[in-house]
Amino acid sequence: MSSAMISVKNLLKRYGGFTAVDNISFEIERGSIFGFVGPNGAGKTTTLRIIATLLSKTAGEVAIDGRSIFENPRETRKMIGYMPDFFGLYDDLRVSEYLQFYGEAAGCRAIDVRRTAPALLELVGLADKSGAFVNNLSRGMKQRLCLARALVHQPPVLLLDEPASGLDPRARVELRHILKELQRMGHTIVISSHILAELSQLCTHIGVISGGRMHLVGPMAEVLALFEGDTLLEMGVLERAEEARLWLLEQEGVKDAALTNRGTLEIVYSGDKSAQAQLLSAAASRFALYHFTATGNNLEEIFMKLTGEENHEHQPASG
Amino acid sequence: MNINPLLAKELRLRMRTWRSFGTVFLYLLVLGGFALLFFASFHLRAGWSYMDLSQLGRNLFNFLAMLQFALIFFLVPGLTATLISSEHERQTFDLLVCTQLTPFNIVAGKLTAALSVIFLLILASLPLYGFVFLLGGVSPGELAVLIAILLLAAVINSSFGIMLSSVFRKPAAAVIGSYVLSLALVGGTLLLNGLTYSLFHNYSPLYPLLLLNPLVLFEWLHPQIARDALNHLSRGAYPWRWLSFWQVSVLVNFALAAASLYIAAWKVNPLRAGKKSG
Repeated sequence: MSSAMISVKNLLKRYGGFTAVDNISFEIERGSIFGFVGPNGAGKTTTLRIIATLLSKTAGEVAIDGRSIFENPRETRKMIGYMPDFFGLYDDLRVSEYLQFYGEAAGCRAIDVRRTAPALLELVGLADKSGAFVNNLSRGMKQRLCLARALVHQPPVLLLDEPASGLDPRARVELRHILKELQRMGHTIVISSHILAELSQLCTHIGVISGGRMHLVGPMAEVLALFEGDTLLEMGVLERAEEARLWLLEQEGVKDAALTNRGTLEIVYSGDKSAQAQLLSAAASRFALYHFTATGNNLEEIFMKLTGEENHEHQPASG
Repeated sequence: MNINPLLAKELRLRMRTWRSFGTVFLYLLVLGGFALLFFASFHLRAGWSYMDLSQLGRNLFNFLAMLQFALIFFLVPGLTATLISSEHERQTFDLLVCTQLTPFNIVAGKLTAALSVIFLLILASLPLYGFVFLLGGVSPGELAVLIAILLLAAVINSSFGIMLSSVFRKPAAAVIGSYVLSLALVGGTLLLNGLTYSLFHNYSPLYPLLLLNPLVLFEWLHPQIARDALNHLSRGAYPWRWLSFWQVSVLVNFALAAASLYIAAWKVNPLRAGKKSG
């Protein structure tokens, strides 16, 4: 049995002239929590919707447990529990009726749903809300109910699109505990977010996407190690900015250099202060500098800089 | 027996709110109120003189039949045009199509739930016809034919409604489209025939368009009147003597209804060929 639960190969999705997902490939290990991170409009939702059989592909292949999802979408739907980023609920249904409906619609026997629903509600912390009307639940509770709905037919794969959006910090922590528990139970979880910090505490693997392209894929620890100790520098040059950018990319310790809208250069740099001083001195001897500052070493910030720029390529850490 | 879970859910939601009972109440109020007015005006005109009660019963039956047809035809677009579009609006559509329900299951479940409300209205109106039977002039068979006509018209019009509901993502657009189509079928076909009838000097070459008009179904109830009108309009050009005009109309409309349901199911399928956006 292959260790890959989900395999995406050269997936391409175009809307007319716009490419939402640009030839991406990655694999998700069985039993892992895969974080799909990238800025808004990066292609996360489109990719998840294709895997959830809600959207057709333009080209490429997606397989779950070795079987193509496009050959038999109905069979695929048995294997996935999908939670969209925006979803509605049938407000006039009770919580138990809501789960009963989706359970039966997912092909489960009514009696089986009645048997498993209490345990599901217990898992998501809604055991005491079984008889409550859905419209009386808080945002966090609705989110958890939607998670229970995605689990009602006991799918091995969970696709969660921005599940923590709009939740307060306490609800986020609760959701994290639930997802950890689900991983322990053997589910493979794909979770998308534009907040890296949220995923870094939860995921075993991560994929970084922007502009429809996958920039980095790999185990969380390996990907984070790539950025450990990195500093974000900002440099202002009076002229020949592009030449300065190319020069910087050749310097030791410079992982990335990009021209900003303000005309300055943003540099992802992995060196200490004395190395920074040497870089500044070398740059000043070649270019007319008017500004040089370390803007921070925030992991999130560095990540977003990397994913925000679509004009230059990054080498993936691993496959 | 496994009941379509979507049908069960729709019925539960419909019957849980006051709206369905309010609809039945208003429907009976309008139907009963007009029936009472009709009876009272007839009675006042006749005064104390001899009154043919069976004729009164017959007239009341015809009046109720047309009124009920109009009410149902008015209600169906409102009931069906939001069936799919409302799922888009409240963002439950993705979750619905992500289940094991096939597009046809979804369309059939929604349609049956809407038709069950119409069936409930027809059923609730039956006691009013008890009053007609008290007066006489109408047979139970004629009442059965009327119920069949109402159900046929509801099924056909519902199919058009759910098709428009799947085509338009906004419920308001679907409802407007549905009412426009209903008016075009009932009023538009009559109007066009009226115009051509005067243009062509007591002949309408467009009379086949009336096959789309659900009022044609009343030929089943009043064959002679309808056939005379058809002969007059078509100058006897209607070709099939062995198949009534209303029967052809049912066949044509069933074909259109089947096509509408197919389109609705096709539109519900998220992976359909040729879909432009997601």
